Amino acid sequence: MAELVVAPTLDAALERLAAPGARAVAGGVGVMLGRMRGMDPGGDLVGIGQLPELGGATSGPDGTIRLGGALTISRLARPDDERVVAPLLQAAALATANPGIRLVATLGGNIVDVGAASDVVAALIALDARVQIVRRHATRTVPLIDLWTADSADPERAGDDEGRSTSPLRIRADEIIRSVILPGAIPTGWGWQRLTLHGAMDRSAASVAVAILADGEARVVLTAAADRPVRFPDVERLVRAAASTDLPGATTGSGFAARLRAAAVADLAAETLMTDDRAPAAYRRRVVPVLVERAVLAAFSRARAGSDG
Amino acid sequence: MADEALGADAVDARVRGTLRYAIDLSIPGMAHAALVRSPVAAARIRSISTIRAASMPGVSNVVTAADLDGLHLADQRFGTVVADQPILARDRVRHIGEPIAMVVATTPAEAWAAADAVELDLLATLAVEDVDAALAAGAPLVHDDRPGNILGRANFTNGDLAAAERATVHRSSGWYTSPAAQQVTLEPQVCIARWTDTGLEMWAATQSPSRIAAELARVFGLELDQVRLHVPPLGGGYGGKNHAKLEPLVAAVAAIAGRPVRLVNRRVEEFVTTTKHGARIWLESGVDADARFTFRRARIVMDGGAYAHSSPAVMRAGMLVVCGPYRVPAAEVESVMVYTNLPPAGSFRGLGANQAAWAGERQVDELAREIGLDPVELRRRNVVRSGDRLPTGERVAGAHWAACLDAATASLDSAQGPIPDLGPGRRSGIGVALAMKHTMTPSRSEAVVAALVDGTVEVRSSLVDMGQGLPGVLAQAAIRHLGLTQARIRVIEPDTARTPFDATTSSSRGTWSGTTAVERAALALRDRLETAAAARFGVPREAVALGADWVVRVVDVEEGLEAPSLPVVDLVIASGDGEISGHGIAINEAPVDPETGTTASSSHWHQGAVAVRVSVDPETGVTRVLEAHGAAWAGRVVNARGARLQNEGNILTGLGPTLFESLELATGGWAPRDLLDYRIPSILDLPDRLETVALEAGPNEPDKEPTGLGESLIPAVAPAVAAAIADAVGVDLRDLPLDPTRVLAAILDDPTLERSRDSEGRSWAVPGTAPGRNLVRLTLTVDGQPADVLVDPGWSLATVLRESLGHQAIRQPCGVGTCGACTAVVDGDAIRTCLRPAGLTQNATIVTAAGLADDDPFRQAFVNAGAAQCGFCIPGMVLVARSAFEREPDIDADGIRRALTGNLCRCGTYARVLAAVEAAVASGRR
Repeated sequence: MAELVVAPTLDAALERLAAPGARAVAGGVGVMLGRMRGMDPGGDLVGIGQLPELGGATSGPDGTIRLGGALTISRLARPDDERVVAPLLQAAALATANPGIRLVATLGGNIVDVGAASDVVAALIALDARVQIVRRHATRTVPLIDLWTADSADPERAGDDEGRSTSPLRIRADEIIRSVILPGAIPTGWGWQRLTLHGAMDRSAASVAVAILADGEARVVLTAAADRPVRFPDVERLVRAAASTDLPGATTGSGFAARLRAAAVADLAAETLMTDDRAPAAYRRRVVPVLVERAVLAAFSRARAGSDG
Repeated sequence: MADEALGADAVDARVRGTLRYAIDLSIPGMAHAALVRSPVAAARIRSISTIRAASMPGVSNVVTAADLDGLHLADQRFGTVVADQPILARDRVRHIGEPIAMVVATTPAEAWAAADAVELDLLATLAVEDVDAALAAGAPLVHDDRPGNILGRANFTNGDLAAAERATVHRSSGWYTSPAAQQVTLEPQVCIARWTDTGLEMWAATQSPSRIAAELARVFGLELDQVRLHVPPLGGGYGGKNHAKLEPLVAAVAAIAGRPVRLVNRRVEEFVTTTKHGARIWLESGVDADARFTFRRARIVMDGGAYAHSSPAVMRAGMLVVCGPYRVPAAEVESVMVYTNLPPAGSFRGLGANQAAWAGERQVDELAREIGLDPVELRRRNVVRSGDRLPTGERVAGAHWAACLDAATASLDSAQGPIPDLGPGRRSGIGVALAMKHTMTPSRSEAVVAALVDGTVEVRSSLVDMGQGLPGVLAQAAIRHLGLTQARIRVIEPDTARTPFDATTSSSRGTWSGTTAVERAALALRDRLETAAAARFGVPREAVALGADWVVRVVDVEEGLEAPSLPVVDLVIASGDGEISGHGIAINEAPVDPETGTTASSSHWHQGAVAVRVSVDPETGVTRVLEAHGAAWAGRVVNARGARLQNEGNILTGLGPTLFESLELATGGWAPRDLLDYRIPSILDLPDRLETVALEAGPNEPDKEPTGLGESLIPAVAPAVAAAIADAVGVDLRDLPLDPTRVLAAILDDPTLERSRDSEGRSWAVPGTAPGRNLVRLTLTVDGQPADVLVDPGWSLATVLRESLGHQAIRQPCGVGTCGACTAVVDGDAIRTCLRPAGLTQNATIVTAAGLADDDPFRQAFVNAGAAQCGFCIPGMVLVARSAFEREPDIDADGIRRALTGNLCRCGTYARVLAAVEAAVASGRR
């Protein structure tokens, strides 16, 4: 009969996970939700939440930040820790589930189980996060957004109909996310917009994260609206151009806002948005440009406030 | 007037989770049952194979309809209004989730596993998917003996419609729809049955002990005194526990099993057990040049689902109030209730008046816009005053809607402080609506008030405590005529062997009928005590009086002489009966119109007005209710705190179906699985400003009877919010709920933006039993006590704490981390124990609400604030709030709301919870 074992070391965990049907469990949220919904396939559960290798939030000499895969979402949301955890990530973490769940749900679990519907994933990709993924005798480090490429999907990670892992995630059942790595460059401005159909602990119908760096580099990311995270190349170009000009009002006027929205509409034209029990694709297509515009303007506003202060 | 809804002890028991609900009960020898439910909406049952299930571990019985024959029941169908529901489906199934078989086993898990193993061979037939399909020519019949799928029909015509048409200058017409919803009691349907030598004994979560006992007696061919029903406090009712649901099934299966049997609905089963009626209403109204109603004409079509439950009452309730509390000289209303192959619809807080007011009040606003008149003025010009005739033609004696309207709008107008920053582009708007609901008429409540030999007084009533504070209300009614201190009075739980008949705890009738019956019983007791004492003293009855010290004395004694006195206890002992009691009966008779000789439809009306201010984001459709102001007619406030809780709860409960709740049922296969699929309002939906007032009759005014406040505001919530949205962004919505996709679709006039209500394509299934894992020994410390238990490590910690270790303060209404009722502090963190595998909690130190110290400031603050109604959610709230404060000692109101985001309260106690936590935080800081 299957069992639940709490792995003493990372190596031991990876060894157990190499067995067919074994699954990692950190906070337990994904496993228990699956169980409640009759989707527990059985098999061994390997407890990894307590492993020191998967904990901690540290910054390197180059400013690179390493977040352990088993860090809880509530740790990410902790307000006293802005140096380690960017405010954008904090905002996304605070929007996740509810406080009682955030205390046990982990960063790695959120990426794997919630995937393209995750608020945290939007913020991480905007912050140019990479993920270090380990399995027995192997380690790889890839940009987080590269986990969503259909060509190398692992069918074992196929999503359910709940917006959880809405896309096949390029991560194998025997792999775990050891850490998430954020580059040293700290955004000068950030923006965050989330749309839900009602108040509490609701999955988002669209989440937009924006990060603007000192050199004008920008990332604008949408989750919860398609089967993968979506970036906005036209919007990002516009942001870069605006950030590089010193013209007064370049990022505040209504003309800029209108151009942002138009660029977002153009970017979305190439994307397939989803229809689910939150909202139809048409609704998402209509409101996401609004969210993008608001998030970018908020990012510029923060950037200006930061440079003024 | 007292200020406590529940006594401090009753609140404390709710705060600590020590109050025992039906779901907490266990009786010796009890087995557990699980239902095999239909996966399809309409089918012929070809065969049921129970062989595999019967051989599974722990299983003692697998019962199908064929097994019921041996019980020789008087009727194999039940229904407290229409007996149309089979105990177990025999030849055909009529809705998804209909019970087909029932498994009895040693544990719930064994019963569920075996239920999964029962094999059904069903031949799907054409299903009636909605009211249009039901009424279509040649539609398949849900019940062969119900032609046209008509469950019921009611109508009235009043006045000269032709003349009214001629006088009409402005008119409005259209269809108004409200979808089905679910009551979402956090405590699900639960019942335990045991057969004894004398008959049937049952413990059930029901709002109607007497009604259910009578129905069980009828079905099983028993005398009424052979059925004994115990009803502990309910973890929420809202109409959902108002008629027979599981009780006949469990009684039948217990008889076959020959042992006590307990059945608890899982959340997914709740959604197919009872619902709120979906409704479509055609309404047409006209006004004359003075903006006075000339006529209203309505056709109400409600979806009753596959079985009647309370449908006939809902149908009539909607018919009575759809034209509103207005002077309408001519009216014509038809109300039709139809059978469909959807789960049965039943009572829901507001019973039919919600659906009716959505049409009736919505159209008043549309007319106001058409005329160019202020909608408040339009209402003032038309609202009935005492002595006027209602649209039905009946005269209304005590009409107070105008006062409610004035109070609600004045409260909105006087709201202090700046309107919060709505954000760029957001628009705000205000709206108002009236609520009108009948009460069950006539209906009877009885009460017994008994003086006992230990000097205490026992109040016996079959009214059910479901968080509305009835025990406190009944105790106060007894005190009023006996002059005792509350400590001497005990209101016992309904037990049909000891507590007398009561029609039902619904229809907002408990306060009036309970108070009246208990007051009469107390007066009768007082009379008996004084009569007995007078006889002992040998003086006339008038010469003695009962004192607050529970002593009867001779009055008017000569100065200087000591008055002869007799303790009540001595009288009780002398009686030889162990008690002296008084019996009281209250019946709310309908007044008869002396002019027409007709009987009124309601003894009195629940009356209220709601005014709201909303913000709307015109670019996303997101609507927030910033302020809500409610004014309800109370007649006399029996209990100020209870009145406020009821009024605030009306508004909070009402916001759900207004803004997002929609039970998308389909014959093709889908129902929500859990509270992730179906959301109810959270503390984030609490308006920034929530003001309510319960209006009372002045000293020289009539109408001082307490009318009950359970439903006086809820019908007005949706139309008030819709009016405010119209005010903000200029769109008149006619379909509920007003979710962002629908609001934006209306603003942009683009229906493709609207969320689809088509839920076909997802299969309905009760989640299967999870595979087991090797047992492990788990060592915990819970509330300071060591615990050592053998568990499946894949079980949730909640299951271990509650089922294995008996910590009843840990509850699992949702099981998916949404509601917070399973919260415990585990190694310092207030977490969802339902989402924590027990195997990951080895050596954990756990605190439940039951382990809170007597002087815990949060526990005390909740008690002081009376921040509990049914109380099922409160232990989790306390622990989460406490934990948030420990993490963030300078937490403010916004922080408290964010912390309590995931703690759901269907009673709508959020404002009081917020006040309690703010008080605790302030006291903690000191």
